[in-house]
Amino acid sequence: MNLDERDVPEKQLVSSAQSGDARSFELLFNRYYNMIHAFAYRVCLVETEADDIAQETFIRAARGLQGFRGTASFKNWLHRIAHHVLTDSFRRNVRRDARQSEIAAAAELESQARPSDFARVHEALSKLSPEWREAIALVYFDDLSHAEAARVLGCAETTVSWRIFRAKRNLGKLLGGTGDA
Amino acid sequence: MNDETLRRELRGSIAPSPSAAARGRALHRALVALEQAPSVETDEGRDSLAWRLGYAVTILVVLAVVLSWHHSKTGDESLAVDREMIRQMDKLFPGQVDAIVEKDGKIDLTIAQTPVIGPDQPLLLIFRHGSETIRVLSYSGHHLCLSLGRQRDCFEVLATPTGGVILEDEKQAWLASDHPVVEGYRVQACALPAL
Repeated sequence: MNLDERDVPEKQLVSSAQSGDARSFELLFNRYYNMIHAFAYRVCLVETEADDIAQETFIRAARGLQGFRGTASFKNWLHRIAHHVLTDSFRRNVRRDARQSEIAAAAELESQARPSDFARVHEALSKLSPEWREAIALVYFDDLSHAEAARVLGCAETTVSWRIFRAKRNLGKLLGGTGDA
Repeated sequence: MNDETLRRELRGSIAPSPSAAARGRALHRALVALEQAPSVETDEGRDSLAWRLGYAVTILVVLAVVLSWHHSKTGDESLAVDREMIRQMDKLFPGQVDAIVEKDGKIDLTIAQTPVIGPDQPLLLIFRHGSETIRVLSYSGHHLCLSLGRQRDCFEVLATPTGGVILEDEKQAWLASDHPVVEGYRVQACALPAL
């Protein structure tokens, strides 16, 4: 494929990748890897874990590309895979509470190594449950509507709205406001 | 803090960029996975659903015979037969096999409407209550609904990195190595060996 990466329509890339064209898949990877990595990081808050989640997301995407029918956007489809990978990752740890404190400790260590503005948000996010972080990451960072986020997360739109509402109130308090965000 | 301020504050916090090494590794492994994935079938070669269903029925009859035969076997040999069985069904319905359930010599095959993303670790679960035995072949991460006694229960089954199995419903989770009793059924489960 000789066209500039930005000029190739996504639908065409997906179709070629579904036929096994590695270059097309690589272009899709280049478009979305950073976004999925950032999404994973905002939910798990540990960089090495975000590396693993993003990698597994694209491996599953490659294996399951035949199942992509284009009913959702490719971006949302990738988010949905990443959500499954994140869920598996959390569930594999039987003692989730222990896992959460492990994540909080790792998150604190990472936040200390970053600029102060980032550290504030990072610390506030680490105080939310993974479900709330996922909802915030999808809606506030990746610009999905509540309905799109609900499809990614496999839950009702009202559940997303409720999670966003609760997360916003908590973030508002944690980031120094009144909590009426 | 209003909504816009919060949005600005969150957007201002940039997630760390992935390292070139992590990115390169991810791309390499994804491309290997793409290479190994089945490509789009041509019109000529596409199997019709009817043909596949017919073939599945044949396979299930064969499986019933194999199952009754391999019940007499024990240990690793039996697990290998189970593993081969689920592999054959997955070849027929790639990414769509949710579970193969055997109860009272009758086999039920549960197939998802659309392929599930990526293959997972195959699992064997056995539910025993008195003389009744239900054997289930499924995959880690799959949702499973079974008639246990008079009611229908749904679980998610998950493989642990150490070869264990977790059974989870909406309210609680059980670790199979604890030999839990669920709805009166004693549960045994294990990850099936790779072929």
